[in-house]
This record gives sequence, C-alpha cells and structure tokens, in this order.
Amino acid sequence: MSGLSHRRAAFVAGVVACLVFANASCNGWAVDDLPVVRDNPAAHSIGAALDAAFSPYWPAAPDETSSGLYRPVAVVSYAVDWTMSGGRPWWFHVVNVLLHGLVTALVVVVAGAWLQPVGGLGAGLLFAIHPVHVEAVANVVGRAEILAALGLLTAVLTARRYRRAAHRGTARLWFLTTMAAVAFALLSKENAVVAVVFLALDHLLDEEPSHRPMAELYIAVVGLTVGWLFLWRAVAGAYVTTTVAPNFRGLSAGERIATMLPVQLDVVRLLTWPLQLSHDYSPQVVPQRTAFGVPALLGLMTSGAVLVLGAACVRRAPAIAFGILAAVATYAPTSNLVFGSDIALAERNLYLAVLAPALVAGWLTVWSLRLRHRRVMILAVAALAMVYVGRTVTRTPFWRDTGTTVIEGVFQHPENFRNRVWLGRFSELTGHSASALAEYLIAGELFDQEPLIANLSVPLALAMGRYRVAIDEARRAHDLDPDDPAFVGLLIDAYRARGDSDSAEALARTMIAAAPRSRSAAQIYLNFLEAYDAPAWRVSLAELRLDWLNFRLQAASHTIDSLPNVMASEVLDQEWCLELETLWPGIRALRPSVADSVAELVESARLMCDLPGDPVDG
Amino acid sequence: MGGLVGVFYDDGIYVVLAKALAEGEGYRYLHLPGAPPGVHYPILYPAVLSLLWRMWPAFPQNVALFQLFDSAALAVAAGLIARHARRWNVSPVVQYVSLPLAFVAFPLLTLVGVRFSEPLFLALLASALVLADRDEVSGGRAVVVGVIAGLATLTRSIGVAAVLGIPLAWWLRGNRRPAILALAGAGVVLAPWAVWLLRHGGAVDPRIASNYGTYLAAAGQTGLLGILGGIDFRVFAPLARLTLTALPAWISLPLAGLMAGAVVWGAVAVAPRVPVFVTTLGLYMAVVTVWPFTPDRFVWIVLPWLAMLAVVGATAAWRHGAWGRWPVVVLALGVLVGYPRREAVSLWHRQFAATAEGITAPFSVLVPAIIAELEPSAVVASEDEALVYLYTGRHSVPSYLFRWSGRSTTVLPRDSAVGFMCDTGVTHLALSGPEAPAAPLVDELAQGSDSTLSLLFRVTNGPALYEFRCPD
Repeated sequence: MSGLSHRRAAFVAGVVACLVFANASCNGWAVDDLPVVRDNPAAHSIGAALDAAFSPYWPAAPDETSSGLYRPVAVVSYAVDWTMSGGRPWWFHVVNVLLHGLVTALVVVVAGAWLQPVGGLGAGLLFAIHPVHVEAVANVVGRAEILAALGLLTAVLTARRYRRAAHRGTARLWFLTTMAAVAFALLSKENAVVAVVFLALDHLLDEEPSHRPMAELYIAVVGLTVGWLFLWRAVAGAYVTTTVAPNFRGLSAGERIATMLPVQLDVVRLLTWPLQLSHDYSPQVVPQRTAFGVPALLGLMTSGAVLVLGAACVRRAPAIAFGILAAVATYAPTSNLVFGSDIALAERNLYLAVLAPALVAGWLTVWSLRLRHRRVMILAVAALAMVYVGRTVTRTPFWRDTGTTVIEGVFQHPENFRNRVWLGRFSELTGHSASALAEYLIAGELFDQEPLIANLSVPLALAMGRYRVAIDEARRAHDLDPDDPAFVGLLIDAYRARGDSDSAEALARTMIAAAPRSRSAAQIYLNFLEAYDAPAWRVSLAELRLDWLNFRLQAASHTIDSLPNVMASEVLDQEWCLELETLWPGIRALRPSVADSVAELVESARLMCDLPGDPVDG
Repeated sequence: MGGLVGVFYDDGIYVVLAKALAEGEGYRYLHLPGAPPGVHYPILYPAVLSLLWRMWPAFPQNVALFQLFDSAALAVAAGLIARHARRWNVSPVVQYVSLPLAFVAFPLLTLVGVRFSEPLFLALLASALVLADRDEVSGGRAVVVGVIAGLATLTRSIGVAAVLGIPLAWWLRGNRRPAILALAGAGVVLAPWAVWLLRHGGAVDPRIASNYGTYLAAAGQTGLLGILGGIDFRVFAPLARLTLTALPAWISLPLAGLMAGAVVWGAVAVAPRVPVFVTTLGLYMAVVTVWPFTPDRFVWIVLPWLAMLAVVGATAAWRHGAWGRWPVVVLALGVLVGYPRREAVSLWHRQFAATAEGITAPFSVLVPAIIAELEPSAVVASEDEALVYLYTGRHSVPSYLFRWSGRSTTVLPRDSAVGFMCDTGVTHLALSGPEAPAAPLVDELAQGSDSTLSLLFRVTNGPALYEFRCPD
C-alpha cells in the first residue's frame, strides 16, 4: 500500500460509499419526506426556500404548534434538488448518496492527522458501509444529518489550516471559512451545537503546534452557537426539549436516565453489530424503567468504559480518542441522559457517532499490518465488511415508500405502538376505516400512556357511529392528560353523539372550573352551552369569559353592565357563585361600580359567593 | 428581553422607519397618518434594520434578528475597544477585568435589550478610533476614518463628536492634510442626509416637532440661552448612580466628582498614546453636557471606555502618593460597596429588563384589545405610538404633545392637542394608566360636556381605551 495517499484513500472510500448505497436511488418518498419535502412548497423552489429561511423546518399551519426544529440549509438543499429534478425522488436520493460519499472522504482526511493512508482508508470504508447510516442516507430527510456532518468535518479541517497558517491574511481566511462551515452545520441540523467540542478535540489531539491564538476562534464559534440558539428559539418557538418522547411520559429526570442507561447498550450494539435495525424505538423497544436495575448498571458501565477508553487513548492512539470522544459529543445532545428530547433513540442520530468504530477500525488496520498473521486479520475484516455491506444493501429498500416502511415496520416490530398508529393512519387515508380503527385501538392497548392516539381514534369512531368506543378512547386520553381541554372536548363530543347530555354538561363544568383561563376550554364550554339551550345567565357568563380571554374588553364591559339585569330576571343558585367567582377579578377590574351592585344582589339573594371587594390593580 | 418593541419610544420609531424602507415606502413615519418624512432620527440604523426586515419580514418574530445584529455589533465593538486598549499600554488587568465588567454592566444590558442604535454606533465609533489612533496616517486611511465617523453620525447624531474630534486631534498634532481629508470623507457621507433634512425638515407638523422634527427645530424651541443656562455638568451623574442610588446628593455628587476626576486623570494619562480617542471622547462628553436631553443613554454606551479610563486614572493617582491614594480609597470603597450588589441584584432579578417589562404590561392589554375590537382604519392616539402601530397595524399618533422650553418641556394647550387629533383623524385614544402623561388631558376631555371622549373600557389602575370625536 506504499502508493496509497490520503487523497486517494479518501476518493476510494467515497466511491465505495456511493456504490454501497446506490440502490437508494430506487427509493421514493417515505414517511417524513412527504410533509417536509414532497408536500412542502418551501422545498419546491429556491426562492420559496429563501423566503422560508426564517421558518421552522416542519411546515405547520398558523394554529399548530411548531415542531421546534430549524434547518434552513436542509430546506434550501431540497429546493435546489427540486429545481434540478422537477421533484423526482430518485434525484434527491442520488444527492444524498453523493453527499454521504463526500462525508466519507472527509472522514478519511480528518483521520489522516493520526493514521497512515491505509488506516484512513480502513476508517473511511467502515464509515462508508455502516448499516446504521441507512436511515440517514436512504431517506431523503436524513440529509440534514449528512449536511451537518459535512459542515462539522469541514470546520475541523479548516480550523487545522487556521492553526497552521503562517501568514495573518491566510489565517483570517481560514478563520472565516471555519465560521462559515460551523454556521452551515448549525443551520443544517441542531446536533451541530457541539461544533466547539469537535474543534477543541481536534486541537487537543493535534501533534503539530498551533501558530495562532485559538481562544479567538473558540470565542467566535461559541458566540456563533449562542446566536444560532437564540435564532432557533425565535424561529421555531421552542427547543425540541419542550416535547417529550412517549418513552419518558410521566417519568422524573432520574427515571428517564434509568430508562435510557440500558439504551446505551443498544447504541454500542448499533455501532458495532448493526444487523438488527429499527426505524422507531418506541416504548416497547425502549421500555420505561422507574428504577436503576442491572440493565441500567450495565449501560452505565459500558458508557463509562467507552469514555475511559477514549480518554486513555489520547496519547497512545489519538485517532481512537478523537473517534470515541467526537462520537460521544455528537450523540450526547440526543442521548436523553442530559435532558429529555422528543425521540428516545433514532439511528439517524448516530450518523456521526459512527466515527468511533470507523476510527477504531482505521487504527486496527494499521496495527494489524504489523502482525505476523495479518492475512487472517484481513480475511476476518473482509468477512465483517461483507456482512455490513449485505445488511446495508438489504436495509436500504425499507425506505422505498411510506407503505413499505409502515408495513415492514409492523412486521419487524409488531409490538411497537407507533407502527400501529401509522398503519391505522395509512389504512384510514386509503379508505379502510374499520381496519384503521382497529389499529388505533391495538396501538392504545400496546401502549396505554399515549393520549394523542385519541385525536385520531375518537373522530373516526364517531364518524363510524361507534360511540362507546369513542367514549372509551376519549376518556382514556382525558385520564392521561386531564389538563388538556382538547381531550375534554373529544369526550364531550362523544357523550353528545350518544345523547348523554348530563355527562357532557358535568364534564364541561368540571373543565371550566379546572381551567378558567384557558381560551380553548372557554370556547368548548360556550359551544356546549349554546348547543344545549342553557340558561341565559350561564351563556352570558361564558361569553364574558371568552370576551375577557380574547381581550374583547369593550364587549366584556357591556356584558358586565347587563349582569344586574340578568341576575334580576333569573333564579340564581349556588352554581352561579361558582361561575361568578372565577370571573370576579376581571369584573372588578373592568367595572368596579357594577361589581359592587352585583355583590349587593348576591348578598340580598343570600348566596354564599366568595367575592373579595379589594381594589384590583390593572 | 421581555418587552415589546417601542416601549422606550425611539426603539419603536427605528423599527417603523426600517419597515418603511423595507417595504419601499421611503424614509417615512409610517405610523403617522400621511406618513411624514423621517427627519429626526438618522437613517443608518433603520436602513440596516430594513435589510434584516427584507430577509425576514414577519414582525414581531424578526425582532430576534434585529437583536442578534445588535448583539453582534456590540461584540464587534468590544473586540475593537480591546484592540484599541492595547495602544493605551496599560496593565492587562485593566483591559481584561474592567472591559468585560463594563460590557455586562446592567445599564448596557438594558440598552442592548432594546432596539436602540447604540451598539452599531459604538462599533462604528470604535472602528474609526482604532484606525485613527495610528502613528502614521495616510491620506486613504484618513478618508476611510472620515467616512466611518460620518456613518457613526448617520447612526446617532452625537457622532458629530467624532467627525470634528478626529480631524481636530490630527490638526493639533500637525497632521493637517489627513484632518482635511477626514472632514471631506465625513462630509461626503453626511451631505445626502443634510440635503434630505433641508428638503423635508419643514414637512413635519410643528405640534409634534419635538419628537419628529429636526434637531434644529428642537434647538429652536429650546433656545441657546436655555441650553447654556441649564448646564450643570450632570454628565457624570449616571456614573455615580451606577454605584450608589439611595444616597443624598451631598454624598453622591462628590462621588460623581471623584469618578469624573479619575476618568479625566486616566484620559490625561493615555492622551499621549491615543490622542484622537481622548479628543473625541472629550468632545463627546462636552456635547452630552450641553445636550438638552437626559444624559444617561449617551453615557452608558461609552461606559466601557469610561470604566477603563477611571481604572487607569485611579491607578495613576495611587502612584502619585498619599494625596492621590485617599480619593482612590474613597472611590474604590464607593464602587465596591455599591456596584457589585446592584449588578448582582440586577442580573439575578432581571432588573435590567424591568423597565421595559413594566411599560409593556399595559400594552399587553391594549394591543390585543385594539386588534380585537377596533376597525383596521382606526387612528389611535397613544403613548409609544410606534408600538401601537407595529403590533396592531392601526395608524397611531402621540397623545402627549409638548415643546421644549429650555432643558425642560411644556405641554401643549388642550385646544392645540385636540386640534392635532382632529387634523390627523384620530378615532380612539389609548391610555396606559392613570399616571400616563396624557392622563390630565384625557380627564379634562372625558369630563367635558361635548362627548369628545367616551369610555370603551378602563381597567382599574390600568390601561383604558376611549372613542374620540372631534368637537363640533
């Protein structure tokens, strides 16, 4: 291998990466590709993508909650592809594969700081063929991972150039290029937040002395990252951490860690022996744990051992140290050990974490060449590579289209409730309502901690006239999340559909008493009262509540002015007090004189209302 | 930082002007009926914001982008000031301790939390001074320095201190050609703005000239004698307030004097190495002294420089012997007793954002109420009228009309105010609370028998909204 240069090794590894994933070009749109690319106008022209440069990654209607993700570079790249291909999916897949080849080549170049070309080639080849990459490469939206990796690895290489630049002008150029690469990574996917760690690791393990003050670069990268975090929040409304994966629903931070520690064994398995893959790690694949047991201990020991190995290799094998520590850094934000995210484990998030096995493989390649029986080693490595290639090639069609992913997903993990929900949704959209409802119910049986299933199952059950089922499903969701008025609304709808108005009314009153300041609760309540021909005073107070919450203060003032007349014309009971008390601060603030009259009427009617008379500050 | 844009008045106007430029409406006060031309606020900061607005036209979300820009400008300014301080030849402790501390001082945080032009101004001023304080000044560099000083003046009018101070310092050191070239460079940048002011200066209704007219109009109201008669050297008072607020004047004023002394001593100490900087800062403080407006905002933005100069001055005084040490001890005690506590409390309780959040509170009721119940064609008289326009889309005019009288203000008579509202088609009048400046006028009108004002709603001790009808 004496004729092998780093550049040639990078080229070979890049080509192999493209060849192994070539069958991805036969794939179409699957799962998230549909809303994010196929049906997203922002991804259909470069102008639209630039117009949407400050929009969340997932398209959302104005009244929907933002996904909490911000990836404008990824959206622009989809738009470029769409413009060039006219929206043909094969082109998007080809670009994904080419980008993966490019990232693989960069891995070889990065490894070149510590490994001979043959070692870099070994690292690059393992990175190229690793089966855990399938989710990122063979699914269009996985591109965000690849682009972020591209930016981070480019930043490492340009920062090296900056450190070694002899002239000030050249250094300034590399400084700016590094900043641009970090910005590219950050705007591609959120896990590039670890950019400064990446750069510092490479700096720490670099044997060549630095000619430039690195503090300025680190301060600039940290500043850029902080600015991006600020922008991310401003655009997407909230960080992804505000939503929680079903796996962690109802768990404390300690219990979440207890749940995720055993998953570290899965992560190590996926990075070393990735034959069994899953596109979703729902609570059945990653079971909830409320106590630290043997699996958690094993996960903790394994994670610790990996970290110790990384630290121990800093001097002896810096390539391994970089691979392991960089992998830990890229995986840490989505590990759910530091904070909870909305996904327990996703194979695409391990895209850059494959640096760990790749650089270990590269180091072993160099080491094995010194062995006497290196042929045996080479044969073993070749056999392993064939297994990896086989798994990658056979896994890639899993992402052919949504139907394949959903149905294959159910076959592979029938215990996964989310696969059932997707199958139900798929069935519903294809007109198989009965099958769809059945799948929703099965999903609820498999995992009874997910209230959101009711948003699909209840309307479908009502449309099919299955009122009992609708009530059961809505009640289950309401029990799981009693604070969400939307589930109360579903239950009220179900009761009303069955003709059980007493239960619906009781529920509506409980809801409004529990959430007197919720706009949606107030609207649901008013709708219910109007539909049931409720007493005028009750409707009047419900309107007042809604006006107040919607800042229709002029209308609210008029309603308050009419309250004494309404009171005089109605027979009031203690329920009047219950409704009035929650509105009282607003009434006093807007119309103190009317409030005094109402208080007098209440007193004369001998009602036991709690109506404080202290002045209210605005 | 937790407040609506426009709670500090100028911030709202900047953003309105940026919106006007971004939407191709010209440099105009879009929120005022008739959209008169912008002749009060220099154009550069709104122009920069307008570029950001074009990139992200969704208000108020795009305010985050404006804030990022301001933060980046302040970071650039910090880097430039640190670089400039290398020329001072002072101890690294001065540079690496006092400078970062000054940049996280709560008044500066308050400024950065609001869409003010100060960060951009500081970055431009620091750029000009870094380039100007060199041993050798070429002609080309002098022009560039003049252009940057001109841009600083197009950001904040007080940048005129740099336009004059930099050439003055060069002239005094015998560098006459660079001085003239710098003046010429600044002149080229400022000339279009001067032409704009000359052409449109009279287009603003004189009844709102105090807020919207040219500085010449404001100076005309104030009068030269009024300005000079009111000079009380309060320019250093904000520095004393930075440390000890609750003390009586007989303590805080001497403390301010000591602080001023330290700053001046520091300036004298570094003047041989950075003469342009010292001349410019001296001129800047002189302008602030005679400026009729409250000096705080002008002082806070140069706080990093003042802090470093104070430390340099105190160090020099300490070395001067016993006579120099006692004042330093007193000053140091005053600062150490007062400042850390104020800073810690401010950071811990977010007091640097409290004023903005306090002003925001009534508008967080008024704004949605106006959106919910007023026609889009409504014209609302209000305080912080730019805020009302930005968040509700309704035209808005000032409800409190005043004119300068010396260094203080005089409210316009009732008939003049009502006449202005009628002329501008006001349909509603919003009041942020019973203590609002326009409250006396509102009370007077509401109690009148001509039904000029009729109450739509009023929150006890909070905001109120009235319907306005022109008296027959």
